[in-house]
Amino acid sequence: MRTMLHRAAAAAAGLLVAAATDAGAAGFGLYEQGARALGTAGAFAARADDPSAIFFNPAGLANVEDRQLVISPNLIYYKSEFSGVAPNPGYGIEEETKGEYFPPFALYYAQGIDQKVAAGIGIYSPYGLQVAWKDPDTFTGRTISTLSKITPFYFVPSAAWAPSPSFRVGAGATIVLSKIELHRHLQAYNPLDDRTDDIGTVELHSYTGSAVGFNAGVQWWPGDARWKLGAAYRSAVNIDYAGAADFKQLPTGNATFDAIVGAGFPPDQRVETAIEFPAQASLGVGRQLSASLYGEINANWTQWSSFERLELDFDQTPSRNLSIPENWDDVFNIRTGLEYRKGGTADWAWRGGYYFDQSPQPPEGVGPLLPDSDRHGLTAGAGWRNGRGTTVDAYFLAVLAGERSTEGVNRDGYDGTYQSGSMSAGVSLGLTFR
Amino acid sequence: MRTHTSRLAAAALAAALVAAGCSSLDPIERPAPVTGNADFSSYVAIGTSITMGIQSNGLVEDLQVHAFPALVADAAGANGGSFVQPLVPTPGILPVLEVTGLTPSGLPIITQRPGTAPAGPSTPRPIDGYDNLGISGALVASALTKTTGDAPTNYFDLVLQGQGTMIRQCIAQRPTFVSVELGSNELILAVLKGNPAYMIGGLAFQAVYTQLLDSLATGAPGAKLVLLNVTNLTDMAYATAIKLDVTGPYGPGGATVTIRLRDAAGPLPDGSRILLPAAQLIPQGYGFPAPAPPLPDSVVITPSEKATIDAAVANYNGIIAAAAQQRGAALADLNGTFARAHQDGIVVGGVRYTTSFVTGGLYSFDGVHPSSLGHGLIANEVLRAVNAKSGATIPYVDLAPLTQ
Repeated sequence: MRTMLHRAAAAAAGLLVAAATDAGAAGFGLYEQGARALGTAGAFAARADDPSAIFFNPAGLANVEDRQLVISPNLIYYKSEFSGVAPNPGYGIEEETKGEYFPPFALYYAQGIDQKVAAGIGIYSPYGLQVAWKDPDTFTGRTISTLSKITPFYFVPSAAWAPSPSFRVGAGATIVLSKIELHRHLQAYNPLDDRTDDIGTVELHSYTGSAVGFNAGVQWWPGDARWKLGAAYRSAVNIDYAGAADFKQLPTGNATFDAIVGAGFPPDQRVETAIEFPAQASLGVGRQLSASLYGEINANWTQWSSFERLELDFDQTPSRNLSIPENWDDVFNIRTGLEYRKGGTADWAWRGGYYFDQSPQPPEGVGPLLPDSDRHGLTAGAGWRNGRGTTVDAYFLAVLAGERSTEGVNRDGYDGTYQSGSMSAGVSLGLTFR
Repeated sequence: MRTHTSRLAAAALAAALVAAGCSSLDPIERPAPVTGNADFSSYVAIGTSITMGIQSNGLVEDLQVHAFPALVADAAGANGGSFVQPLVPTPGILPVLEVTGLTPSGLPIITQRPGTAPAGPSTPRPIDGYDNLGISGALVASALTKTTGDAPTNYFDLVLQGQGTMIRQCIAQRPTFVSVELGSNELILAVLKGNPAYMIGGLAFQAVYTQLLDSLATGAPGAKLVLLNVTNLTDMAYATAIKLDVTGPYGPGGATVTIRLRDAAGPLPDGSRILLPAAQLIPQGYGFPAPAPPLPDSVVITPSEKATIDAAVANYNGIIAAAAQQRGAALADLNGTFARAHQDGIVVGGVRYTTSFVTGGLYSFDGVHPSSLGHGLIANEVLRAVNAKSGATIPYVDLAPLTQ
């Protein structure tokens, strides 16, 4: 049974998490987990009252009555640009990632079991990364990374209980499946031609790794529920990956040097690594500002300090093992948004929001593997409901990641300034079955 | 009207959202150098073979253009964009060494670049002298007094051309900025000959170094200085290329064993250095257990000799640092730069370059002089020191072209 579950989840991961990118949240976090919440920049922990509460605050599940299904596809466009400075790669050097579209989406199902208890399941990716540099054979940072890709997939059965009309608690298990893929070129100094040559490429493809964690949350809507308070926590999950390292030698044009390189060139082999997806905590405060206007602000904390190193262990050529220091910091982001629904009862709602997301990455780590920076996100959204349990929500998110300089201290000697930008759009279709 | 305003607001929001997501990064062009209190309108470099741009035991145009003074001058926009060196046509004087292949045992085959060595530089000497006055083999005393000599290369003649000493030709140019890279030749014979007795003592060095700086202060009173200290000479590739242990079929019946090479006193203790010329002797059996002959003392630096040489380098560097502080000069820590390279290598664009002989990329093929990339590191250390001292923002040298 456990194997079957594992296979089913793995298949779902392959189908649903086609790709992801570090678009919506700093580090490699992703917050595109529901169009209704994204309309208000993801400030939803206090109010979460539909099945997407499984992500935003599992306590909110207790608000769900009947059986509800929410399907939330997204389309994300992401691009990062780089301008180099001396000493390396030099002034005037420009690089860019492939401008790519990614279709991550979330799926939630929940049902009320009785007046006080509800349960559900969510499938989503709260983290994800894809940084693919254009023209990888000539990209000036190709020895550091030409492609980095992490695709975790969270499978989260959850339940919530409302001991009183104003107070809810919820929790769930998180079953995480994930893959990682890393590509880069290999270069070496060639004394025969007194220059540095590309001698090969290495591509690491992990098999699916898995781990288990949990999430939990509380909601308190005191008095007449004009104030809404919420807190949620998602545990860290550490995934050990095993995979294949494919080494390919490239000819340099010097047969003698190629023979020397070939004599010591590593074979294809097994490789192992591990990544911890960090713990997250959210605190949300919302208020019905008028009959028509609701506002909420969330403070989210991510324990990125758990990302200390990226270790790669090769089983046949341990001399090529890598231990890349990352030394990220714990960070906060602030998300706030407004929803206008005329009289509080209209079918249509209009939303807008803003967030500031602090980068956890120190300047020495800012590089082609992951060029992170502080981000400002502006969102706009709309929602419609028919009063019979069908909802359609949509959002548009523009992320402006500020320019991020390596400050001349990049650990790989690859300095300059990065700027990343992304746009996301998504819809959530909610269906109620009675 | 209200609807119109709402639509305008919605359109403005949409435009802001799209603009935010689509903003573009402009390329960063090399900024114009801001030299602060340093004036590079007349930059002159005095020094040794490192300043001169010797690589791989020769002086040749295609490598001289990477000499650190030329790189610094280019970065600082010195001398109106024309920093004049005595460029020597290929194959160089002496013809530079190149790696042309490998022996069956995997050792590099190093030969001189083919061709006939030219008689002299192709760049005519400007009337006041070359801007790069570095001369291979120059001592501080040579800079003050020597005007000719040193066959077979005759580098003093090549640079000075009978028009006076290095310091005289420097002052004649009314320099506004001078780099002084001297001191290593007072010590290097100890390494090249494996004997600390060849070193010039610290007091003598201090006296003559002071005299040199006094001469500059008198002859070019407005000139700003950067003083370069001395690298730890026992860590040069020349002194670290050969390992103390050799592994091969030297055991009974051809069994593979590891043998610690020896000199007359016995197996070399840890911390010893075997010098590059021993590469010719070891294949002949030198250094193997008796009855094979021991490695001669001239190719070995014992740990105590190394300690003596290292202490002398530290003493010289203390004298140079004190002089820099006393005279308000910038201090370029050449020793620190190469010590870091010796310890961990230097990572440039994800590639780690080391001080290893031939394969490391930071020393040229004589094991003594820096490679073009090594000169790039020196130039950037000079610029770092000048920027810090002079409130300047001279952009660093691009290293990528020096690796291609």
